Amino acid sequence: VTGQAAQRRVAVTGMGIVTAHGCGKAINWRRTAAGEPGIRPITLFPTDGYRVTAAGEVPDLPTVPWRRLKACRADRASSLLYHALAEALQDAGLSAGPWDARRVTMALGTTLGGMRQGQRFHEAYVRKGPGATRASRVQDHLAHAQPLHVAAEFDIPVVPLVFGNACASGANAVGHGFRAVRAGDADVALCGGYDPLCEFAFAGFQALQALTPELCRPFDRDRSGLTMGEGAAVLVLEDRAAARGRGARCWGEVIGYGESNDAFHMTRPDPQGTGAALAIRRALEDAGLAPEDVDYVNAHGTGTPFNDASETAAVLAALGEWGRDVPVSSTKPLVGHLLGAAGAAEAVLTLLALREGRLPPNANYAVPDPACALRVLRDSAPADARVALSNSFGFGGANATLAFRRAEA
Amino acid sequence: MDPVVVSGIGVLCPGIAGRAALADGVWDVPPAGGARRVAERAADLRLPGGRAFRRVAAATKFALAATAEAVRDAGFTAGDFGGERTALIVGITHGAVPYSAEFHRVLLLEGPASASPLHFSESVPNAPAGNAAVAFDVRGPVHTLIGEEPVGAQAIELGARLLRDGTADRCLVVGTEEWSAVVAHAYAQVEAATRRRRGGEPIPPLGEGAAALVLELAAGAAARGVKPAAQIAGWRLGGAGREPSVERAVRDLVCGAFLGTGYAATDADHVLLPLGSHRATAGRGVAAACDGGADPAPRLDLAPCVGNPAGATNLLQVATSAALIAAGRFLGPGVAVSAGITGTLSATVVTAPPER
Repeated sequence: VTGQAAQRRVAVTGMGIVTAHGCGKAINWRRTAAGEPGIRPITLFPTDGYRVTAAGEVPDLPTVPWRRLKACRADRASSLLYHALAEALQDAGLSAGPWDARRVTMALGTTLGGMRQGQRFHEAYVRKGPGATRASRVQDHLAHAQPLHVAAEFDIPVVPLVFGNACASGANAVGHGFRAVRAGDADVALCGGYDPLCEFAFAGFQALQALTPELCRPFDRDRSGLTMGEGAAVLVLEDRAAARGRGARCWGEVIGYGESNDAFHMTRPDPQGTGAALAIRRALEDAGLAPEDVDYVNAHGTGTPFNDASETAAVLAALGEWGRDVPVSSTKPLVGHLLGAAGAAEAVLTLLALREGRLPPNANYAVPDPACALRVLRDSAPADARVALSNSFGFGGANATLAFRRAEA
Repeated sequence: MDPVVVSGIGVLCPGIAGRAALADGVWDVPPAGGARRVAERAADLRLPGGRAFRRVAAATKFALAATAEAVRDAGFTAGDFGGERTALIVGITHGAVPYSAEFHRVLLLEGPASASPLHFSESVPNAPAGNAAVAFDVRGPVHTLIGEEPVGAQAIELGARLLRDGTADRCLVVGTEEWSAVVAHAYAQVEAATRRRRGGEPIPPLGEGAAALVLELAAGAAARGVKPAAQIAGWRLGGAGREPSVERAVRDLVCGAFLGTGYAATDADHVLLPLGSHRATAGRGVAAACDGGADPAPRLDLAPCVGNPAGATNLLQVATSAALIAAGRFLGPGVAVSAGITGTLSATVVTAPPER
């Protein structure tokens, strides 16, 4: 990066979020800060035969006024993404466009895209035979379809970049957008992630024995697994100077991004946290931060025994002694694990935490675990935090860490 | 900017195994009809790590086999290729559908308690990338991109960025796809509907296989004393939106891909045609961009041999062009044009590597 582009700072000028807490930043922040759980009995599919029957299902998802996509052909994934993008664009004052195809980029992360639609197609194929299926009803199934359809709804002339890096996807998408704006390759980046609750993924996580029938309690000695969730989040990133020039609001800045891979195992994290520590260190270096500059870590914190111990090792390896003192919390106990949306939703919540001067609680945390010797926030706490990290780790050894700075007054 | 070069090529597709086969033009000989499938056990014989990956999905096996060959072709051993400064980007469209279909079939007919964790973990889109990272010790950025046939061009674009911004010293880009009866059935339905509605052309049958390229900056390859096969000189991605505009969109995209390469589209001495949708209209767009002179560049069509390997398409096309240029069959530049069913498009310009 040279010249003028080297000076670019990346402002977050718009944010949209949908989780089990509801649609929009306001309700999500209020309920997150209050530590209100959004976990409820699953209604989207029958849970007979499952050990777990609750998840972070989005209640009363509003109907989307589709203009181009027939409503009956839209997967829930597209609806989640639509609402998050609509809020983010409105927030940034960019709803009306017009868009310069050469200066806007869209990067989104997802795990299984429109799998609910794929399930319906395949169920007809299995139960009634191939002749009973209709391919026209599966046009929103593939994981790149939702960004294409939603971009078309907003007349955004892009070919979206769709990251399928499991639970790190959303953070990778935000990191990609950050680099594109910082390097001057784009003036506006629309980035985030989405994933709906679907039986395919739910059954998969049960088969892997990763779900807990109890409360999800990351970093707790008695943690026993994760709670699934669903949702979407989108951030609008812009060159800070240009955003100021047009009078846009700044929610904060993205200041660093680190990524790495464990190269260890397809589904198990490296117990030493070596790869995750590398992602954290790279984010710090990218942002020009020392460990002591970090005021808060929004943890990946799934609540599985393996993940939380591995993440602890990574935080301590990357931040050194400061890793024992810096406040840490995971928001997953409140809304569930949003898979491909997790990194983006947690980016939104982290930026809101910096702006509001209040750190979210690590709900359900009761008994410290010597294997997770971090300063886990039991309750929401006021804090004059300027800089925060957000970790996202996933299947396939994917690691991503984002660094954020509070907006200047 | 330091050019991005291809220093290693690996391919495993129906009837094609290896860079030499691409250069020899074996793809020009269509196999006897039916689905375009990789020969049984062809991938197993080429897997790294002994039996460690014997149970993974075919999409992963194809990726591993093609990657192993690309790494060797680039002059690396499996032991010295990976590390924190190596990146890996895999492009897919459908992924391991046979495994996900089997997982879902068991879920439907026998219930969740019988569903296999292996079938689930191998169904997630980044299973090929995750397994390849383990096999080749890739500890830098590892990404899976999901898209239509042009997804390989997106992988090249992201790989080039990681090389140029100093995040990685080398980047593997891999496209992989696995045939499945369910997807083939859905494609057949789409094709039939399209032909009924618009009298459209046939879509090549769904194929499978993988193509892998080792990308480096020219300076990096030179420092290793390696002569690259080719240079990725330019690329463009775009979307046509509606069918009538595909021709114009392809023309503009091809011309745009040549900007800054030192060549014009009319300099192309070979063209790799799309393997999926919009073949005729995209072909007219290519003609509008490239056929300025009296002697149109030869059109190379892999579809009769490999069908449409979806997410592996673009990198297979680029690998073919690079192998042909490296073997002296063409001087270059060549251009690979890919088109997806919704009208996403890419054009990638391949030239001889820069002289050093």
